[in-house]
Amino acid sequence: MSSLYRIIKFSFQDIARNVWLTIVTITILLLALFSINMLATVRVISDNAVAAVKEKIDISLYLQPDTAEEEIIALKNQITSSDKVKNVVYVSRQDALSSFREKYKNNQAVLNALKELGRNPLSPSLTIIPNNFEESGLLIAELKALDNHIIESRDFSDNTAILEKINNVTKRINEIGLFIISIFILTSLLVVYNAIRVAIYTHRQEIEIMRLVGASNFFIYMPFIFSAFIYALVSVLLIIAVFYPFLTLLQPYLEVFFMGYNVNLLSYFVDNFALIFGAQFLVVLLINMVASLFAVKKYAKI
Amino acid sequence: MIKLSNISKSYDGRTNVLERISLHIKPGEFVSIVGQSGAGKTTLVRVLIGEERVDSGKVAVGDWDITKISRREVPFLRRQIGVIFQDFKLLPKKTLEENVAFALEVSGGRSEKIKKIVPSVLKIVGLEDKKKRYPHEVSGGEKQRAAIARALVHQPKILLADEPTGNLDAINANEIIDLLLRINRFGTTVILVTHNKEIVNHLNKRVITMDHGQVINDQEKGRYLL
Repeated sequence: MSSLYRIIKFSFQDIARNVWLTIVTITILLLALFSINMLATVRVISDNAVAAVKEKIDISLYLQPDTAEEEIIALKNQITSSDKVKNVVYVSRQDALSSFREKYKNNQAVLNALKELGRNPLSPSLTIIPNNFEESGLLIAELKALDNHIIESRDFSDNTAILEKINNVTKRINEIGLFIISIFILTSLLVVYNAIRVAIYTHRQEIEIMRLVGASNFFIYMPFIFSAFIYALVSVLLIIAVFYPFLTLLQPYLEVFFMGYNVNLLSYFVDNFALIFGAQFLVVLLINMVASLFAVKKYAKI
Repeated sequence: MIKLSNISKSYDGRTNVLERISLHIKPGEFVSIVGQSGAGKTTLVRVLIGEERVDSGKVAVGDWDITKISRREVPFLRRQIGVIFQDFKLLPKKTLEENVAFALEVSGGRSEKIKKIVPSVLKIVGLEDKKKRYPHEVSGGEKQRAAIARALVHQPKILLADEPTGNLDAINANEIIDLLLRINRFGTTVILVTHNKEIVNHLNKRVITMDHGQVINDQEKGRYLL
C-alpha cells in the first residue's frame, strides 16, 4: 500500500516538475480525441441524412379510379411476390382523400376547391417499399415494365443519385478523418514518448540513486507509467468537458438543417457515453502505455 | 565474502580494463584498493554492484554468483552492498533525513521500518542534530556521512566506498575514515577505493594495488606503493 502511495507521489512530482510539458502532451491528446469525436459526429449526421433520404423514397403506382378491389389486390399480390419488394401498401381512394384533407387542413383554398368539385378526385394507389434500398433502381425498372390496364400512372421519385452523393461524401470524410486520426495518433505516441523521456531526464539523479540503493525495476518504471495513465485520464475528462458544450452549440443548427427529422447528436452522445468515451479512454491509455513503456525501457535502464 | 576468480573485462574487445584478477575478501575485512587513474578500480566497483558484466571469470558475493545474475536480481544484490561515492549522490531537494529514508522508500520499505531505522543510522554517523538540513546547508564531510547513513539503511554486509574522501579536506577525510573503521568494527566488510596515500598508510590494513587492470600487489597491513 505504501509502495503504491509512493509511486503515485513520485508520478505527481514529475507531472508538477514538467508542468508545461504535461500541458502540451495533454493538448495534443485532446486534439486527437477531438478529431475522433468530430469524425463520430460526421458519421452520426451522415447516417441521419441517409435515413432521411431513404424515408423520402417514393415508389407508387396510381390506379384507375374505378378499379375493382379484387383487381387491385391481385396486382398487389403480384408485386409483393417479387424478391425486390419488402412490402406493398394499398391506399384506397377514401384513404387518399383522408390523408389529403389532413395534409391541407390549414389550407382553406384547397379544401374549398375539393368541396366544389363534389367528388373524390383521387385515385387508389399502391406504395411499394423496396426490400433492399440499393436495388431500388432494379425494382423501378421492373415496375416500369409491368403491363396492367388498371395502372393509371407511375411515380418513381428516384433518390438513389442523392444517396450515392451522400454516401460518397461520407466515405470521403471518413477517409480524410481516418488519415487525420492516424496523424494525431502517431503524434500522440511521439509526444507522450518525449514527455516520459523528458520526465526521466529530469529525474535522472533520483533514478541513478534508486538504482544504487536497490530500488526494483517496477518501482523505477511505475511512476512514469502512472503519469501516462494520468495523461490519458485527464485528456478524456477534458474532451468530455469540451465536447458536450460544443454539441449543445451545434444542435440548433442541425435541427434547422434536418427540419422535420429527429437528429439529436447530444442525446446520441449521452446514450452512448460509456461506449464512446470508454473506448476512447482505452485507446489513449494503450497509446500512452506503449509510448511510455518504450521510453522507460530505453532511458531508465537498470 | 567476495571471491573474484580470474575475471577479465574489456570495453572494446582488445584492451582489458580488468585482466585475470583473482581476489578473496573475507567477511569483516577492511580492504583498500589503490591505483592510479585508469587502473581499473572503478570498473571493479561497478562489477561488484552488478553494473558491469565481466567477459570471463567468476564473481561471487557470499553464495551468490553475480556473473550469472539476472536484471531482476540486481536490486536485491544492491541492497546487500552499500555504496558511497566521491560526489555523495544526495538529492538536493531532500533533507538529509529524507535522503536516507529515500533508499528505504524506493525499495518498498514499510513506513514503520523507515521511522525506526532512519534515526538509528543518522545517530551512527552523528547527524541526528542536522537531519532536517538540506545538502547545501552542510559541509562536505556531513554530506558524506549522510551518504554513508543511506548506504547503511539496508544493513549491508559489504560497504563499498569509491573515493569517499576525494572531495574532502584532511580533517573531514579522517573523520570519514574513522567512521568507516567504526562500521567495520561492527562486522561490515569495508572496501575502500582510493588514491589517498596518507590515508592508506595510516590505516595499516590490507592493501590491494592495481595497475593497468591487474592486481600487482596484495598485502596484509600494506602500504601505498605507487
